Amino acid sequence: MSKDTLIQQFENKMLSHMDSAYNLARWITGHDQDAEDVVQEAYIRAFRGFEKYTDINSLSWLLTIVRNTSYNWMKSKHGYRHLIEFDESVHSATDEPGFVGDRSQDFRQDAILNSSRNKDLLHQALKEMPLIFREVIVLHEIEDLSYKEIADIVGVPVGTVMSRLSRGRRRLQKTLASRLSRRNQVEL
Amino acid sequence: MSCSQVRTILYDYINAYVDEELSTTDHSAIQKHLEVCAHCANEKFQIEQIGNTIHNQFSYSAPYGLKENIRHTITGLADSDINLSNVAKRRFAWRWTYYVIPPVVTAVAAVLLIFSMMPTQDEVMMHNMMEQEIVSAHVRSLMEDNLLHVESKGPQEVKPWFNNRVDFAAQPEDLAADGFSLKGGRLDYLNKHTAASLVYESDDHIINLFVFPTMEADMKSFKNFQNRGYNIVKWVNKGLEYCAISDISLDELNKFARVYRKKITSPN
Repeated sequence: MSKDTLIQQFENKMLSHMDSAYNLARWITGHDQDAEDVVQEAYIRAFRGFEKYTDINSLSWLLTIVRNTSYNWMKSKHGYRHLIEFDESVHSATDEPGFVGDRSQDFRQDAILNSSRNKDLLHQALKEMPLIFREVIVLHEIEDLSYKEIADIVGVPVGTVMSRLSRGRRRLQKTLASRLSRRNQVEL
Repeated sequence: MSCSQVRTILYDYINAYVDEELSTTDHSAIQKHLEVCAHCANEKFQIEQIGNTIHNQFSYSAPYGLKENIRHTITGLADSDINLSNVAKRRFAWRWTYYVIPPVVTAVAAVLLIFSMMPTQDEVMMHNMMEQEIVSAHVRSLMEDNLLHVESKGPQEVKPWFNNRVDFAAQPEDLAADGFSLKGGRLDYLNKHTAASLVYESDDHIINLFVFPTMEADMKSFKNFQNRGYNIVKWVNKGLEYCAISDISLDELNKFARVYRKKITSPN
C-alpha cells in the first residue's frame, strides 16, 4: 500500500472516531490536557498498527488503544495508587445490593434531573466513581456500545460488564439520593 | 439464597432490560413483570433517566485543532519513523525548569541511576522490539491462515514433529482439563532464532505460546505486558524464554501460564 493511500484510509476510518476517543480519555484521566495528550499518543499507536488491522470494528479497536494509553498515562503521572484495582471486599459494605428506590421514593428523578444544580451533582458523582465502574458507564451510556463490545475493550467477560454497569448505576443513584437529601436538609 | 442476593439479580435484570441485552424470553418476562410492579417500573424509570442525562449532557468533544494536529503528526510519522518517546519529550519542552536544572547535576544523577537500578536504553529498546516481534508473530498467525504447521490429536504427535525441527525441547502439554486445548504447533522466527509456537485454544480464543532460546537469567515470577490490546505473559527458565500471547483477559492468560509451567516442571 502506498503511503498516501495508507494515510487516506487511516483518516477515513479513524479520524471520525476522534470525539469518542477524546471523550473516553477525558473521563478516565479527568483533565482536558491529559486527554489531548493521550489521544495524540493513542492515534500514533493506532497508525503504527493500522496496516495489520483493516477489517475489524475500528471504533472498538481504537478505544481499546485509548483505554490502555490512558491507564499508562495515569500510571506514569500519578503512580499506581490511582489505578489500584477496586477491591470488592472493601467496597461492597457500602455498596449493598438491593434497590435504590427504597430510599428514594420521596422524590422523582425526572424533576430532579431537570435542574442544572442537580445535573452538576450527578456529573460530580460520576467523576468521583471508581474507574472500573466509570469506564463501563461512559462506554455504554455515552458511546452506546453493547456489553460484548465493552467486554472486548475492557478485557473482561460479558457477565462482568453487566454486573459492573448495574452496580455502577446503583452507586450513582445512591450517591445522588444521599447528596440531594443532605442538601435539602441544609436548605431547610 | 438470601433476599439481598435475589434483589441484586433482579436489579441486574432490569438494567439488562433497559440496555436491551436480554434474550427474547427474558425480555418479555421482565416486561410482563414491569407492567404489574410499580416498584420495579420505578427502578427502570430511574435507570433510564440517569442514562439519558449522561448520554445527552456529559459527553466531551475533542477540542478544535486536535484533529489537524493528529493529521499532521500522522503524515510526519509516515515520512519518518519518529520514536514515541521523542514525541513525549517534545511535549514537555516548554517546561523552562528543564533548562534551569544544572546540567551537571542531571548528568551525574542519570549516570548513577542508569548504572544502579534502571535498565539501559539498549535493554529497553531490545525489550520493546521483542514485544513488537511477539505481537506481529501472533497477529500474522491469525491472519494468513498460517496458524498450524502440525495439527494435534494430542501432545505425543506434536512433540516428535518439533524434535526434528528445533534444537531445544519444545514441550507441548495437554491442558484440556484446565480449559486450554492443544490445537497444534508452528515454527516462527523470533529473537534471531527459530522458535516453537505451541497453539492452544480457550473458548474460541487462540493462545500462542512462543518458546525460544535466550541469554536472559531465569525468572521466578511472570511478567505481564499489554501491547495493542493483546495481553502477554513472559517467563524465562533454563535458557528458554516462554511468551504466551492472546486476547483473553490477563487473569485467564496468567492462569494458562501457571498450569503450563506447573505441568512441565512437575514430572508425572
